[in-house]
Amino acid sequence: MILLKNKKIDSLKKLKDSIQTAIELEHATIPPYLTAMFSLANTKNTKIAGLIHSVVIEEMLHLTIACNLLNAIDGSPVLNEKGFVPTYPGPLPGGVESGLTVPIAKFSKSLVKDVFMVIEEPEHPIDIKISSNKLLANSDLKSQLEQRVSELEAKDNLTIGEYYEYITLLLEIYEIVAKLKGETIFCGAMSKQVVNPNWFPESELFAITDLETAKRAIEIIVDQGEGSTTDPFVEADIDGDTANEPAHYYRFGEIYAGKELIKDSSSEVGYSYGGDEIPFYANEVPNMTENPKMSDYSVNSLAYLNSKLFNYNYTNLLNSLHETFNGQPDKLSNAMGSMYALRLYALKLMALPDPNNPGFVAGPSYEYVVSQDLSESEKFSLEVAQE
Amino acid sequence: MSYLQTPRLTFSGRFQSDVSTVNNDPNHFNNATFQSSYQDFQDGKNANGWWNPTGTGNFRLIDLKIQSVTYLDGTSTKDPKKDPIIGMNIMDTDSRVAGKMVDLDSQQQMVSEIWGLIVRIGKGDSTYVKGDYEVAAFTNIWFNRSLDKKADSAAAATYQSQIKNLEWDIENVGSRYLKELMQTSKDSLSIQFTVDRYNGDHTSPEFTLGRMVGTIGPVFDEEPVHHIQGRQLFPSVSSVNYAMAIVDEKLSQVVLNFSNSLQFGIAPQAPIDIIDTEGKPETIATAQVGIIENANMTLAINTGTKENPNYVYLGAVNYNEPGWYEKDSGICTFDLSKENLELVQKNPLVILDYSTSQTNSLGLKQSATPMLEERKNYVVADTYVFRMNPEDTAHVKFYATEFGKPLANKSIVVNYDTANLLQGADNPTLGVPLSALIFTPAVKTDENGVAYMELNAADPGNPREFIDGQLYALNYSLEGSFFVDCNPINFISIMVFDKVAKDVIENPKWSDLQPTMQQYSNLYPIMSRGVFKLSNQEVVDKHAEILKFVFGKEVSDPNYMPVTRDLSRDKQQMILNYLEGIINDKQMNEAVAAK
Repeated sequence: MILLKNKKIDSLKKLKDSIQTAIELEHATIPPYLTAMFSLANTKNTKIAGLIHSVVIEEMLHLTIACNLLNAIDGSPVLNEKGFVPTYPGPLPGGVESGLTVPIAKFSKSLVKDVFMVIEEPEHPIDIKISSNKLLANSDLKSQLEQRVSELEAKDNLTIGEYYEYITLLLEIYEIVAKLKGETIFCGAMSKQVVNPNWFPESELFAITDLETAKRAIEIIVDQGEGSTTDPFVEADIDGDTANEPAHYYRFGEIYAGKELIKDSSSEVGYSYGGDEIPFYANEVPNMTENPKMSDYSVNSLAYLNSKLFNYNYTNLLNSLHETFNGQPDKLSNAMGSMYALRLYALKLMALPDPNNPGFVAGPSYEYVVSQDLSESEKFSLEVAQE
Repeated sequence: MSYLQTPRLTFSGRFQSDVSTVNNDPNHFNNATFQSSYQDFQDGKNANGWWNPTGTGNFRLIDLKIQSVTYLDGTSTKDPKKDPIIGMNIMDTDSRVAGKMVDLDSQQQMVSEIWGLIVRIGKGDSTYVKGDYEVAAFTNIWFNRSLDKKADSAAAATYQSQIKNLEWDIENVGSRYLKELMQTSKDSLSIQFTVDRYNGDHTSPEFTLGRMVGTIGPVFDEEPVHHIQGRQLFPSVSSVNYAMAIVDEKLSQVVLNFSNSLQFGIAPQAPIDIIDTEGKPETIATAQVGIIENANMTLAINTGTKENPNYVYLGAVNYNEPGWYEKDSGICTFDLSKENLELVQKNPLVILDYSTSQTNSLGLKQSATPMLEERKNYVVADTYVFRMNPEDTAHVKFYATEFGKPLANKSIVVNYDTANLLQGADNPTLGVPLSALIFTPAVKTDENGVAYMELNAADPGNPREFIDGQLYALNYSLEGSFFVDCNPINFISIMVFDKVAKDVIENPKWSDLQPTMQQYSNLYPIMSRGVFKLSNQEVVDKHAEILKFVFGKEVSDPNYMPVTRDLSRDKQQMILNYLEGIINDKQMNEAVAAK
């Protein structure tokens, strides 16, 4: 289970900062999940790759929702800076130092168990649902909320679920206070809201314009990630169909167990990993060096060239997401185009021997590079490079 | 005029072209005979999928640096202290996928186009000028540019186009050059670059990279987009390639673009002093890659005739000076006296191998051998690559000139001519039926030297069987002259796609799409292995939404599918209708399930 540093939120500005941290956190899970998924491309491990893919898509949705949320209260998401990308291996953004170290690594069952399942592990039953008839601002509600806030604030660290609960409570309190003055904190420009049925169903990605939509959006993030305490399945829109799918933690659980999660009355909790097999063909996975860095490779190697191109494309992706979430929602399609391109660059890397480690292949490093700055350090003349 | 006018800048560095090569062999389009080994790298004598079967089509600008600027008044600098733009970069996109390099067809690979490229002038993550590169095909390709290289690596070609939809953010740069450029040409810019020394060895760290030198300058109305309306110099000897020039009357200069005209190879350099292994000083001979011409190249005006020339010398082409290629991009200027400015308007330019030697009795002996000579009259098709569908109409815009000035009221004659297309013995026959491409056989230029020729496409009826559509080529010349007098490399290439029956387009079944999807799966392994296996109905149905999105994109969008831009209008519609059907079925099922 991931524990986040508990930073007291006592202003709308700090609330915005904490949502920016949530954006960074949602993004930070994507490179490790993607890398594991890329390492399964063109192998027989299609079922596992499909499960990870479904999680990645939802993490991208969560990233989008978190950006919509920040825009809704007139904040400005920042995705186009070096500091936005965490260092791998390292802790997740906002996480406690002693916590989990997340690597960039090829797929393995231990990676799923020791890292992915830890990231997604739910803790306590958290019901952030507050039914809509309580929305009317009143002092009773406010003090009720404040009581839960002080409970959370008393904790040293927060789970991801608690972190989002904390944000939700603060949104609610600030909105009550604003409403009393005849104002609203949801004063962000509607034009900045990203809603795009080409990429995400409208039931999951919608404009956040008020407290109700904000809460519904956060609920999607938390539910898809953790599920509820009694039911590991959450409702999802799968290719246009409404269906139930396991929350992330249980989806990774399926991969680790090698079997699908099913309802099982013979089990104490009513569920078991007793369904169809999810096979893993380990010897087909390219043997990628863990936590590759562009600087690991000699400037005069194909691995370097492809690593640079991967990072350049990754940076373009973050730049286009930044544009998307800062007033140009149509740029989401550019970002998605770059997502697919990212995959091709990763596959090229994983097809190249790692020049430093015999028996290993190169891999993607997810570094934010400032385009042509790189060449400053390279300094090799055209002709020397040619020969 | 163009990039040869002021204010202009020069840049140099590298490019990446990650083209895919399985489709380089026309017979690989045949699904019936396709082998899985065609998706492998070339292996010794076994051509397989040629040298880059896993290419993405990406085209990128890499490590390009601005080397010099020339201001409106003709003065020039290479010093970053004088103008901060020196040392800055020419870059491609920073927020979407890379542009794409695309052949017109497997049987016409000599007009590769660049699609969806963004060009930026800036530094690091700062962008000062940004715009869209208008699709352009290369020209003036020659295969023996670099004598120290083989095959494609030995070749060079040039691209000329315009950068449009410009966004300027130059307030805080403090560059006189950028200010002048914006004042002169706010809406679009002219850009030309030469690409060469491409590395096609997939085991090399420089794989898919090549060298680029180029020039950016202003755009003025009524000029061609892809050519210079100026002076055209034709090679007279085999060691040089086409060059072009303008006469800048305001600055009284000849501005010559020699960037794709001279050969490279291992050339001797000045000897260097070293300390040998025994500690003794020694002078050793050196050689490195450089321009290997050894002629004394001199620009002149020929005021006589071809047979009895009379040369007025304008100056030497200083290709031996350090940085002439990488810093000046092969652009040379020659000042004209008032007299010579008049002479140059009425007489051809010539580049001579000029030498003098002492004779024993009579003093100096001059020798002057023409290496490049100007054609007085010239015509060129501005855009020379067309993709058409049955019932489409397109227009070829011709520019005719006499000594670089518009040539009015002159007939241009056009003919079918597939001689320069790739027509191997075992390849499908090209250029038939003639009835699928109708054109106006002769057009006359207006007072601006411009003429439009109409092209009308009909259904070729699938003459190539396993390759969609048919490829046509047209040559052209000014009435009374020959195609060789107007640079035969610039012939017009036209792809006319096949028609699909209306009821098939409207109600397509998977079996109608399958051959096309199978072909893409075969020819583009990076796509079929990396993203979507298009030959698999289950995969296509499952990803119907995203596929509909990319197949429905504007062809100019770098995310457009297929990357190769060789899908006919009818097949595109058929695929979109099929995907639409799948999506509707899904929604229907969902609605039923909800009840």
